[in-house]
Amino acid sequence: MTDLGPNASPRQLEGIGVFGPKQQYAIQFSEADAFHSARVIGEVPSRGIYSIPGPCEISGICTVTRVR
Amino acid sequence: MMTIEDRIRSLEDLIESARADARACVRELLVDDGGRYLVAERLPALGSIIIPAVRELIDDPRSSREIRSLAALAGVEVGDSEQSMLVLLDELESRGEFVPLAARRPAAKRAPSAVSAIEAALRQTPVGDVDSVVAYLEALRDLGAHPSLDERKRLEAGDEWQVTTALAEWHPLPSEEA
Repeated sequence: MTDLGPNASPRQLEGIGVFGPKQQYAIQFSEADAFHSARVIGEVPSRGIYSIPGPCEISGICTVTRVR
Repeated sequence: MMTIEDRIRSLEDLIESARADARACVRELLVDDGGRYLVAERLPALGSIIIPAVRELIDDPRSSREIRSLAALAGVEVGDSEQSMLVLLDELESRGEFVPLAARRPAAKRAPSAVSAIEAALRQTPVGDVDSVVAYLEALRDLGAHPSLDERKRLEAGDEWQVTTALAEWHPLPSEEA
């Protein structure tokens, strides 16, 4: 999970471990929704690297966007 | 038919080869292509066999701070409670880039020596640095410690919802506990 926006470059996405076809879509949701239903963990916030423990369920609006 | 001696010699060769492979994996941290964190994330899968190579990188004066910190994160994960732990405590003290992990990793390993370093780091962290503050609060909880009342007041005054939620959930005051 990342706070890099949908316009993140392929290089930025590779740097956080998102490779190949996974770079083509973004699933966005609000931090407030995620924090209350799971637990957002800032692994290396300066690089946009976050995680949520699995399995978890995020309640709230999720928007799926095709980015490239 | 193989003798026992042949079999043991062959096994020793395999072990030596595994050690060399583990060292090669750890030394992937030296490649500067933006993927070091991803390498460090994967190294613990090898287990404690990486510890000698991790210590080698930590002790090498040519290693950058990033390399030392990432090697130490992997080292603590696989049980290096000496050199790797010292590097993470130093990362906490100097509030380096990997502070959230440097707080959580020793806490997950129940290393009580980290409590005072985490408390000190928390005191020096602006409340607005939400990710670090939440990481410290989570680490203190895992270590069975709590922020002081003065520190709690400072954090609550910052009015960051992630911080106040973490305080309420992980460090409830006696009157708030169910």
